[in-house]
Amino acid sequence: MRDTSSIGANQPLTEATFFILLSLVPGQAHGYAILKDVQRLSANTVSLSTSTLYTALGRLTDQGWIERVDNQETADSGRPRKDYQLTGAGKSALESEMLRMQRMLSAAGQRVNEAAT
Amino acid sequence: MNALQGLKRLFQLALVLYPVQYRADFAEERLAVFDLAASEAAGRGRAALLAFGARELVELPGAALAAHVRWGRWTMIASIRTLLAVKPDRWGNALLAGLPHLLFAVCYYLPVMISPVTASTPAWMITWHKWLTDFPLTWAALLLVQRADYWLHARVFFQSVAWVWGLSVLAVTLAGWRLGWPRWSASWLGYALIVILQSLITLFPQDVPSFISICIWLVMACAIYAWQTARSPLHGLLALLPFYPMFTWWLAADGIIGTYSDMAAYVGAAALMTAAVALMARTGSTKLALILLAGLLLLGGGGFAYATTYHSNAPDPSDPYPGEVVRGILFYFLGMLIFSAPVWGATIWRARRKRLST
Repeated sequence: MRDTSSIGANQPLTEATFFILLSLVPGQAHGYAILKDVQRLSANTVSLSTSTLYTALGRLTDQGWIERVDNQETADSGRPRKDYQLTGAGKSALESEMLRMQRMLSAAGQRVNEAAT
Repeated sequence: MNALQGLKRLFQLALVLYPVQYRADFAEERLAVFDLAASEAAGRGRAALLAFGARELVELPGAALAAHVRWGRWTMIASIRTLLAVKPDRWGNALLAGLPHLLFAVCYYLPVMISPVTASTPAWMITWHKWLTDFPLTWAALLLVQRADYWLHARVFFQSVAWVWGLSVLAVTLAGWRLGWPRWSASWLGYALIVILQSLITLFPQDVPSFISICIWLVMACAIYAWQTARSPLHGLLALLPFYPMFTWWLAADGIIGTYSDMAAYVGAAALMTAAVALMARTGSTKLALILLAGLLLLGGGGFAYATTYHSNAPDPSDPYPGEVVRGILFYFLGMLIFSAPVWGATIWRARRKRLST
């Protein structure tokens, strides 16, 4: 609905946001697949309710980081299914967050090593 | 109905907490995801299903509220954007929209421009004082009693200017009505309201009749501002500008012998207002209109707070003039916010109706 893909203003990402974006890296996925993937990627530390998941998906769609796309297949229940996929801005946001985390880890590792020696 | 089916049914019912538009887009998808997640939880046992269900139902109202805020905000903004999208107009029409501001200032300060004003010159001699009620009397006095009196001539002339001004505004407004209220007519309609207000002030200068007449005028003005806003927010803004800031500046000068510097400030502000209104009408951009208006209030507020209207003595370095200027600017911004209530109120009301209808 709007273009608020400003990455810096949205960093650091919440754990849920980070894992949702990460789960969409391989390609588009539907809500339940994202839900399970987030759980798996976070080693069961992040377990989203469907309401929390859809609130996050709505916000990310507004930010232009993901988009909702049609999927011609239908779920087991026979209902029509919608998928979500990363946009260019979403990929940039994820990469930027990973870079930020790497810098933090690097700084932390360096300090710990210095202290150990 | 087993526990799983009951939970699905409960979730389906709870989705009613979400906005209608949201449900139309997402309800099916949400139910599909919930079905899969609930079935998976049920596979892990009854306790897992209950824990899953409890968490879902507890978190749903908060998420529904967030969806209301998000949906409402964006659909409202989209509606307002649609309302603000107005087509550009021709330069001729745009200048016609700006013209009455300059005309009003020039007519009002005409006496100061051509009269030998001194400190002892009484205000009523050179202003539109009692222009409506005393006009026949001054004419009669001129024709029958004191033909050689310079000030009487001057007063008749200035009152005539007021009459010509008022009748011109009413005539152009009438033409606007006949042409189906084009954009330029909003400015003239706004000044027609000023002419009516001036007439009421002249006819009922004080006490209860004055209060009642002003109240009636306010109701009528608010209705007209809202009606013009219904045509477009730009119409509403153009209709409002004659009253604020132009007329409040006129009121600030009321009863005070204008000096050339006051006149220069007022006519200069009117020329700026004319240019700004012409740009607003030409581009059709409400956003630009609001930016220009803010700039004018900034200039006007400062200028008029500094003018001799408020400070009859020469500027004194020890006087807290900067404070006066800041207060003046704040006064004009606050005043504009209050007086424009019918315009933004009608805009929001229309946007809500438009949103609901879509």
